[in-house]
Amino acid sequence: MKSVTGLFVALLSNVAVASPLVLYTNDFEDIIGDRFTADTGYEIEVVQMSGGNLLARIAAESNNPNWDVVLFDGVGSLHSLDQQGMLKRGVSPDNEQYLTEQGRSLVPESRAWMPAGTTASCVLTYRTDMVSDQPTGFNDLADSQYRGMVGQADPAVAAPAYPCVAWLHYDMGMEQARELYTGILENDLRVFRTNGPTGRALSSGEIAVAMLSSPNAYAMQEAGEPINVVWPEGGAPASSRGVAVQANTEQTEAAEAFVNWILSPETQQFLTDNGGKDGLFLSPVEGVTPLTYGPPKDAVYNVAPADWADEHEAEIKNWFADQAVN
Amino acid sequence: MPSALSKPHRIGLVKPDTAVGIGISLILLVLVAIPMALVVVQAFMPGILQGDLSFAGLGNLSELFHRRLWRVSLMNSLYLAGYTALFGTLIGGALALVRQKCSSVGGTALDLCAWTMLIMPSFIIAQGWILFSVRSGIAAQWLGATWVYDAVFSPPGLVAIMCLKNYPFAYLAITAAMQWHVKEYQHAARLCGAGPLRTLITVRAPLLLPAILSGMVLVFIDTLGDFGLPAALATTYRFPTLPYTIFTAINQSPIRFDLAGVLSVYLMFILVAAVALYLWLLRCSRFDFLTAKAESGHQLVSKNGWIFTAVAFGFIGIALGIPLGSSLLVSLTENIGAGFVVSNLTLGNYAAVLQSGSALKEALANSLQIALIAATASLIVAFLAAYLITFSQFYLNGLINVISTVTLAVPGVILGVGFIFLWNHPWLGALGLNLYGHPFLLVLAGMAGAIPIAIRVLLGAMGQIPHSFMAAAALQGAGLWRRLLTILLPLTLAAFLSAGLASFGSSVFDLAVTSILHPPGYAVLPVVIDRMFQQGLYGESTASTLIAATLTLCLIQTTQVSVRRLFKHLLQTHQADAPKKLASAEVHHA
Amino acid sequence: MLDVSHLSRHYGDSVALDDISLHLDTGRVLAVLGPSGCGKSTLLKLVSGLEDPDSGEIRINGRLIAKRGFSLPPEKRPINMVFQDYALWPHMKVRNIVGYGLTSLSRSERKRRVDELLSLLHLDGYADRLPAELSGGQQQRVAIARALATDPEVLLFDEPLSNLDVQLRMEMRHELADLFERLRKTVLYVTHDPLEACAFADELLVLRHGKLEQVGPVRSLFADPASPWVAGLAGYDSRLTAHLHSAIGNGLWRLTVGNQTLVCRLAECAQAVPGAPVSLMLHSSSIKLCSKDEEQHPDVNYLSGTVRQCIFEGHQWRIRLDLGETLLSLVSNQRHERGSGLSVSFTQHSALAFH
Repeated sequence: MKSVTGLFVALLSNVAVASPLVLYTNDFEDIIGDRFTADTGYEIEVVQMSGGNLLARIAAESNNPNWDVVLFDGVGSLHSLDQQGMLKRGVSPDNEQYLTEQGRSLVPESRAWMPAGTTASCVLTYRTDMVSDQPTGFNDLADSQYRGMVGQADPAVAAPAYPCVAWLHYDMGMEQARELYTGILENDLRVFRTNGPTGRALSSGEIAVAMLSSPNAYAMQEAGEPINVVWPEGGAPASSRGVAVQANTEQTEAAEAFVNWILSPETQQFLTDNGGKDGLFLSPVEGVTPLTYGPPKDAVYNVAPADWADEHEAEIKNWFADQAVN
Repeated sequence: MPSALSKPHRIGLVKPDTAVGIGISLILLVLVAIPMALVVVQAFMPGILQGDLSFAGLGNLSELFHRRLWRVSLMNSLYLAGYTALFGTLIGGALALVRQKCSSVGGTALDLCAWTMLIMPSFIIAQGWILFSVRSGIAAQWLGATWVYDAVFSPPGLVAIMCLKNYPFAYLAITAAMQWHVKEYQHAARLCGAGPLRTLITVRAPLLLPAILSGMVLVFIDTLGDFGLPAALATTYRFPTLPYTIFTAINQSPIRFDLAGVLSVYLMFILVAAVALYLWLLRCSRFDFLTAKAESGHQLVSKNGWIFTAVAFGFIGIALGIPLGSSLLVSLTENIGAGFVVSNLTLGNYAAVLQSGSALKEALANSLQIALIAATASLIVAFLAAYLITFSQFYLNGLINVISTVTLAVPGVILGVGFIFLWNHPWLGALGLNLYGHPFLLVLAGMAGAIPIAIRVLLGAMGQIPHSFMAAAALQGAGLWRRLLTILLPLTLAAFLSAGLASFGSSVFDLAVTSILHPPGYAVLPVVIDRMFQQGLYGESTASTLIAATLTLCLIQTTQVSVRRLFKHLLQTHQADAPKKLASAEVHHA
Repeated sequence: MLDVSHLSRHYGDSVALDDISLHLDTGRVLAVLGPSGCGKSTLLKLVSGLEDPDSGEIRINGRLIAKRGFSLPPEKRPINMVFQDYALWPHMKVRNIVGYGLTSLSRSERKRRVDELLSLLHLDGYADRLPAELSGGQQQRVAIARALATDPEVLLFDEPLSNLDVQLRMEMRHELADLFERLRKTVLYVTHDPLEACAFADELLVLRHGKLEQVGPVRSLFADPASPWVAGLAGYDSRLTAHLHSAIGNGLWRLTVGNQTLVCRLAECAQAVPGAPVSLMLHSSSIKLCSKDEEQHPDVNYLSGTVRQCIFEGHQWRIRLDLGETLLSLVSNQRHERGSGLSVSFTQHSALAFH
């Protein structure tokens, strides 16, 4: 625990204290720290925030970043940070050699971040006991039989929710995607802050259908909730987690060790096995055995290109936020 | 014999009052005025945060009309604050009447309820209502009242919750006004042939009107700036209000400090207008003529007093019982869905949040520490500021007074935004004073919030101290500090204590400021409780709330009792009842 | 000792004190007299340092203590004051109140000094009382003891007796007079009561609307008020309108009231133009009733008129006598019917004419 008085004294005396590597992450906060230190010997302080909050914090600190590495679900946002010169470019960890073809395809030219796993950002999840006609695609959600019974996480707040909306806009084109969402929103779409409350609302029966991130959906199914998960035909909108180093970090060595550590097959297996629902992801490296109750092996993941997602982020989020107002 | 004459004195000596005054003005500028000013300036010079001083014109202001979310936030805020002001005042006024007619026990209970509601952080009240009303909540699961969900989670339902939270402003203002009335006015009216009803309408009501209206404005101001309700609602029901939209603008990507500034300007504009209206109303309600022959309104023991007593307790059961009872029940329950049965009762939630290394314990320690430092520091600043305003002729007294009055109405969200603008500024960064992301900033923010209230409380007390007391001490050769410590402090000790404890309590539970300013990884109480609530850990969040509230109340009570015991001779003989001073200061803070 | 020169103080547009100068020698008692709002409290505040002057200077023993832009704070001035409301700190015992300014003394010396002062003011045995446990007169004496404790070079009194009842005020007048005589302190004593002022003051200073109206030894004020206003203050409560007729030497003039004539002194300030209207001022108690056939003295004026009004004042009747063109107010120990004729007399030297 930091003591206020202690910090005040430190502030006044301006003593440089040897500080640990600071990680900002929106996942795996409980298991990363100890294991990383055990594996590499570097001290690390893990700071967990929800996705939107984390990006806001980084933006607010742009004059004076308090972080060294970031592990974030949404490479579009990492692209944005890179464009602002906030990420260290040209990172090439040794363990990059283990990347799968899918993983390799996600590495940006600038090498400002490395892929750390992919999840479906929205799969259709419905209550088998409440829904008679199962929905098959997002278009169905505008159907009046689901009026007021559909929920999703807020793209502005939940890290995986924006990649979902972004892919739909990228794939269908802006106009058509807006048309689709207008239909769903007019059908009284319920927008929750993050996937957690969305899942709880589905579980309690407040809603019957949810566009839920795949880890939440499969974890609920595994827990015995009366739900069914529909993987959309042609693939699910997906979100890629990336790991990146802060451009001006004073702890380059430890930071790059962290990136390398994330990409090691052992770490990937460790995160898969111990991350709880966060472990339900498609690993970017070879030789990782996924959890048995996760998505089908042949599931297709559609990630909107990072630069496109970044470029349209404000436009899409603002449009969504304005439409989602009752 | 003072040796004053032997020492040569420099001409143009800076007086201690002036030195203190400049110090206090600087502190208020840095803590309050500059952050507020930056919020306003930022709306027109969006580059100022990066040190770019170019003027962007008024374009940013008009963005309100292009973004539907903001328009709706503004409308929602005005809807909530407007109707709450109206109905909250009606409730407050009705209860003030009930108080006159019911038994003295009922009256005391109503007063106590009003004070409890006033002090209780709104996010805790709102969380209680949400736990009661959601589909998986107590009303639906235990009482089978499924209609509660739709009733509460609707704009009128939210107005009702805010009315039950903020009615005390109106209730206390009206009760205070009703306590003093001049019988002669009513007798004169009766002798002129007016019946009781006409007397009430033509004599009594007009005399009460300023109190009613100023209570109404206070309810409006507090509801408009409220952050707790929308924050607690966030996971359940979408009802964006200005404070919450400002909060989200700086807490999601892409981050928009500039637009948070613009929205803050709108919010501040409405609040300043409301404060101006309030001050004007206060001026209209100068009942100097009341003092001479006014007498305390005696308790009318009405024939049907028991009905009114029942109404009083019924109201308390709803306003206080439902939210707090829900929180208590949820904290003692394993799973709300399993119903109210013995096997479902547990202390597990308390055990879970109290286990070693828990976030709650760390957050409690941090928050209490911050609140302690902030309350102590703000008490010192407020004491000196109130001294200057009351006893000195310092030329910036007007400024100190205005800053401390206006900021009473500024919500924590705007304060937080202003603090980011100031303390994250590259210029300060260059000086090594970049405090953003530093726990000490929470202390400063706590001070900024507490100082204006403490000043009002202390002004009320100091206003009763004759100037000659301080003058006499000076003529005995006592310097400023000795005068303050040996004369003013002992004589205002009760108010001093109230102000300090109120500052402490409010800064422990200040959700808005801590949400915005807490450093990542640094646990603070309101944020930890809110996080648990957002994550659906209702049992743990309510258990944490109750533990924290109990602990804070115990600390406050212990301090109160020990200070009162220690300085018994000071507090018994010469000081008016402290809560009363607090009451008049808060309700009539101007 | 205390020198005030050309002292002024404004509050916004209103002038509280306008170009006041005064000089007071060591050991002398100066009473500042005037109605409320005349500036006498402002003068005390400036001398004590509770407020700062806008212009002028204040010196004590030649040392500058205040002028425009410079003001020694009150705690640094060799001055102490007895306040109108006594300003006894309610949370302190008498011992601590009186000893408050004695920080430079050791504990035992302080106790000795406090006991000495309490004894001087007949307060033995009250050292451990709180102010609330004292009577008004005792509180008054504690306030004086406290002011004396620091052995100030100038002692200020701000209407100290105005909060006491009539009986107590009379007693305290004697006590203060006694005290001033014993202590030989330099005292500036502010009051609105001329009787209080003349009880122990050596000199009087009369203020009106912030301006100096008259200053001088106490007797001169009562004998020779410089203006009708000071005369009113000095108890010349009856006035009538007359016209100057002719000077008859020795400062005496012949005046006409209707068809009656009388002789009296003319105040110096008055312009002596025969035929000019003047106000004749006199103490109503100096007017005697007389019968028409009474023997007339040469240095006594006799007037007769008709009773216009007669009201009872408890121990006497106040009569308004119609003298034709003016009314005269006087007191009598018996009632006179309205409309009845009445003759009155007063000595030539008891009346003063003002232009």
